Formats: sequence, C-alpha cells, structure tokens
Amino acid sequence: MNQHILILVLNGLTQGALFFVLGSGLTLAFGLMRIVNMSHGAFYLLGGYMGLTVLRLTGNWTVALVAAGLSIALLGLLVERGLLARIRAGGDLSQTLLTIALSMIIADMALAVWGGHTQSIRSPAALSGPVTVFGFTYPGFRYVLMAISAAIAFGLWLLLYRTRFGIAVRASVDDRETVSALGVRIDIIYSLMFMLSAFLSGIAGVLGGTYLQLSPGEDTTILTYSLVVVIVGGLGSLMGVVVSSLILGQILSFSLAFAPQMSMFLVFVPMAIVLAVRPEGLFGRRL
Amino acid sequence: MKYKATRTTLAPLVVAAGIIAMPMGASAADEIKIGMLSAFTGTFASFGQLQKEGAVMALEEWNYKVAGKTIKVIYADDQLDNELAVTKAKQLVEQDKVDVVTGLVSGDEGLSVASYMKGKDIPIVPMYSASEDSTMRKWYPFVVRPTWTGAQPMDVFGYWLSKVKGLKKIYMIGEDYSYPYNQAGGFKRGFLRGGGVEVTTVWHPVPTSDYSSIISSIPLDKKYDAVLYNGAGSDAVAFVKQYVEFGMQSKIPLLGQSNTFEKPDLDSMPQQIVGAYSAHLTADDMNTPNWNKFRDAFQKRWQHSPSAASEFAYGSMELILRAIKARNGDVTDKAALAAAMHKVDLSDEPRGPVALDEYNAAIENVYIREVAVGSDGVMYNKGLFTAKNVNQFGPYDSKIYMKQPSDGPSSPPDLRADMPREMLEVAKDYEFVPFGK
Repeated sequence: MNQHILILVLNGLTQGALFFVLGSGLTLAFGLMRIVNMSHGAFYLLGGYMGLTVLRLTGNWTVALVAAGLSIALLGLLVERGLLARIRAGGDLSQTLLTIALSMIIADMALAVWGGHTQSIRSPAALSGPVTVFGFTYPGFRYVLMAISAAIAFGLWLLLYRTRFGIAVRASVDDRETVSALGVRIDIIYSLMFMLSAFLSGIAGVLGGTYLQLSPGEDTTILTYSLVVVIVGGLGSLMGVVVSSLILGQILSFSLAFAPQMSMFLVFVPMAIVLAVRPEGLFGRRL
Repeated sequence: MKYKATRTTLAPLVVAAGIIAMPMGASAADEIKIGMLSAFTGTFASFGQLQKEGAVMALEEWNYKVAGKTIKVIYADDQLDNELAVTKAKQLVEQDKVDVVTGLVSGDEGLSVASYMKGKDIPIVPMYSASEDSTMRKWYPFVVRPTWTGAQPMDVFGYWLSKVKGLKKIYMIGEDYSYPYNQAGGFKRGFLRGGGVEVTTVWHPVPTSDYSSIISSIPLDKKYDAVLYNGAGSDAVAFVKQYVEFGMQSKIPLLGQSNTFEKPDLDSMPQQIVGAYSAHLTADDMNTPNWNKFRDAFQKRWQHSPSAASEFAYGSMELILRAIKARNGDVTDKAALAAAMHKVDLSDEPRGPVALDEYNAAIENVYIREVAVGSDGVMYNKGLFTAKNVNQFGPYDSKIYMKQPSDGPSSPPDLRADMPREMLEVAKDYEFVPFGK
C-alpha cells in the first residue's frame, strides 16, 4: 500500500514536471508582454513532431530535444517579430486572437505533414529502462524528466534573478515605459522572452512526446492544462508555476488512481476556488 | 477552457462567411449530393482520415457517376465535437441540401447527429459510429448502418474468453463515453453468460495522457485473470506503452477492445504485447478473394494497408451508391432511397458477407484475433476464430435485449450474480470456427 502511494506521488511529480516546463514559458511571456499565447499548445505539438523527425534522422535523443527547442524558438522569433509586433498597437485582444488563429494553422499543418495517427518518441535506451532504488522499481525516463524540469527551473531562476537581462525583464514587467526611457531596447527583450517561451514549449513537446504520445488534439489538451497551471499559480509568476504544477500533478495522479471519472472535475476545482478567492492566482499580483 | 469558448463564439462568423461564399446553385438535376461528416482533425483525425480513404476509393471505382448522375461529396469536419457535428449536419441539410448523410466516426457524435436528423427524412449511413441505440432503441427507418454496434464483437469476445479460455474475473479500464460503454456492455453480457463471475469497470476521461496512476492502482492481489483496456486511438497507444513500461505485462495479461490494437496505432506500441487478444469485424491476415482484391486496390491507391475504419467506409459508400443505382439515379423520394439501401446485396463485402436486419443493422462475421509479429517484424492482428452471422442482438431475443436499459457506465451490472436471469440463458449460443474456414 505504501509503495502504491509512493508510485502515485512519483507519477504526480512526473506530470508536474511536464506542466512546469510548459507553464513557465507561458507565464513568463505573459508577465512581460501581457498576452496569453494560445498557440503554446500547438508549439508543444510541433516541437514534439520536430523532435520525432530529428530523432529519426540522427538517432540521438538529446540532439532531437535541443533541435526541437531551437526550431520552435526560431518559430517564436518569427511569430513575435513578423506578426505580434506588427499588431501590438491593436492591444492584447487582437494579439491573443492572432495566436488562436496561429494554433489552428499549426495544428492543421502538423496533421498534413505528420498524419493523424498516434506516434511517440522512443526514449534513449540508456534512460528508458526501469530503475530500481531501494528495491523499488520505476521507469527510468520519468526520473530524467523530473531532473530536466528541475534544471530548467534553476536555470530560469538564475536568468531572471542573477543576470542583467533578468533585471531588465523584471523591470519591464513593472514599468515598461520607464525601462524604455532608460534606454533598454524593450522590443528586443520581448523577442528574446517570446523565443525563450517557445523554446520551452518545444522542449516540453519532446519530453511529453517521449513519455506520453503525440497526436492531433494533444495541442488543445496540453494548452488547457497549461492555462490551469498558469491561472492557479498567478499569471506572470515563476514561483506560482512551480507550486501550481506540483499541486496539479498530484491532483491528477491521485484522482486518476482513486476517482478516475472525477479527475477532470478535480483539476478544475482548485482553479475555480482560486479564481473565486484570489483572482490574481496564488502568487500573482493584482494588475 | 478559454480556448474552447473563443472557438464557439467564432462559429457563427464562420457560418456567416460560408453563406456569403455559397456558390449559385449548380445544375441540381444531374447531381446527387452526399454529405460526409466526420472528425477529420482533432483526437480522432486518424480514424476520420482512414474513413475518407475508404469512401474515396469506392467513389473512384464508380468514377463519381451513378446512373448518369454525378456524385458530389461535401466533406464536413466536426473535430469530434458533438455540438459542432450537429451544426455541420444542419449546414449539410439546410444549405447544401444533401441527399444522404454519411461518415460519423464516434459513438456520441453518431447519436447526436442521428437525433438531429430525425424528422428530416434524409437517409443517414453511419460508417464507424457504433453506439447500438442508433439502430435499436432510437432507430428510425432513415438510419441504415451496414457496419456494426459496439456490443456486437464484444459479446462474442467476452463469451469466448469465459467459455473457451476459462477466465473468471476481468479488470476493465475504459474511456468514459457511449461507445466504450456499449463495448463494455457487450463484453459483460457475453463474459458473464459464458461463465465469468465479474467484470470490474473503471472509467477515465477522454483524453487522458498519463495513465501511470490508473495502471499502478490495478489491484494485483485481487486475482483478476486479465486487464481489458477499453479505449482506442492516442489513448490506447499511451495506455499500452505505459502498461509495458510499468512492467504490468509480465504480471497480468492485457486484452483490448475492438479498436485498441487497430493499425496504424498498433505500429506505435511495444512488441511486449504480442499475444494480446481482441475481437473485431476484420483481421489483418484475412485471405478471401473479396478481401484480397480490396486490400490490394487500397494498398495501391493509398500506399498503406486498410484498417477496419477504411473497410467500413468503403462498404458504406458502396451501399449508398448501389442503392442510388437501384433507384436509377432518382433520389427525390428519400424513403424509397432508404428502402433501396435496405435491399442492397452486400454479400461481396470485403470483410465477409453482410446482411441487414429489420433495423438496418449489419449481420456479419466476428473475428477473434491476437497480436502477432509478421515475418517482416511488424505487428498485426492475426485471426484465430470466426463467429458467423452475428447480429446486433447477439444470441438474444431482440425484445428481451431491448427491454434492458441502454449500456452505461454501470449497466449492465459488473457481477454475474446481479445479471438478470434472462440475459444469462439463451436458446443458441455462438459457435467458433477456426479462422479462415
């Protein structure tokens, strides 16, 4: 029985790790640019498919992971420079609508290129086998996923709180007019942040495509979870994403074990409570 | 969530744009319009695509011409969203003025569209949607389904597992909607009738991607003989993959519902599942002249082998075209067209002879299959046994069958002890013929 609970906790951590990689990118871009990127899920799916293709060509999972992250970051740059920046004057709503349109276009193109059937990325042989610790066996890749996610969390913290770039970003979140008056190129910060966000969703696509699967429709499912994570944590808050993805992961894991029919409902309960009691989210600031 | 709401608010705009863009009426007299409504994108995109390939193949064989009339197919994508499916069906009926509606890939989608179409007096031919009530408790004469119900293969499967293989207790994990309910219903009836004691059912939302907690909660100490995964598509790939990753395959055998191990999803599953049983109306190694002819033509046209979804779509489209031919191209009298569909001869159907019962549902062969590896190292569903001429009521009397409540998450009951007596005793049960005989 105790072993059962331990597995459930680990399962929750695995899910939470993926949610963190997804949610952190989404929330950081929002905190800075005030737009919710509704094509984040489509970026995820596309990243997964890019990883799949690169893995088939090179046979190297790590290369696939990096290539997917970089290619989606490049896409993010094109989207930000080529589309979002042009309609920034139109306000948050038109930018958000644009990302919805983009998500549909990406999903349909992915369907045309990679087909409709379910595929998954083979995990690296060295990491995929079950790992036994203290007589307790658990799929090895799930530990890898947790480690990558923790490393990303640490890296993001370093970037935001220990670099000049991070200072500029945080200052822009508070007062973009003053920051640009001080001579900081805020449009470059926007582009870099949107690229980072896209990079993370591309990486998440490979991680998710490896331990779960890739198929049409996965983009909207994953976007829903990401939005819940970000809303519960507080839009724009990195700490909020850490906490809410851990909570959401455990809720999903335990509800699927004990009341699977209720799991979707239970995922949205905390969101409803948070929205009712603290609309800005657990760690969010009032806008 | 936000995303969904935005999509819905956009829908009227899209419809409005469609009305403006409507072309001026084509030469209607020489044209017959078939509306094919299915999930061409979204979670079931692969089934929608396979379906389209089968339908297109039939149409191309007829060269899009029947009795001097041109066949025009209007494709509508419902993304597996029931509300959108009804909106699209409405569009097909009111704007496009189609003469037949076909397609439909999933259970709930089929039920919603059939209930909208009631009273419209337009024949509706569901291709893959298998919720039995469309041709049973909610049937009306314009519904013609030459394919299947969810319970049809599963009643045979359950009976075979308990009667022939001697299994007593099954742990079933399924997707929470009407088609898996119907598959579970058929399975429970067959399994408990054949001597099984218990089928425990656990339902999960669709889609679920991480099954690890469901899988690690399977009670190994309760002596279940097997786990049956009652789900399909991406859910099935994820479930089966994680089942193997968590080492369950070596502890308790895995069974599938009809679609779990279907190709091409099977290609994404680990080979540890070789030997897993399932039942369907096709098997990948069928070897009859009709099947071989179909398979070769399909392979040539689409560069991959057909699955049940493509065969069903091919047969359904064939039924529509033959009925139009029997009416000599006259589709103005829709009731007569539906009646002609009922009379179409489908004895040359690739998967085996098909006849329609009084509810326009298929009477056909059910195949018990196991996952095997071919000489090319690729997994496929190998036929083991055939139950011949199975109808949608299985071995039961139709009146007794329809008196029972519709299949749901907890009906029929999980335990043999709770099953009504009249559902445990039948006059004549299935006979199993070795596959290919």
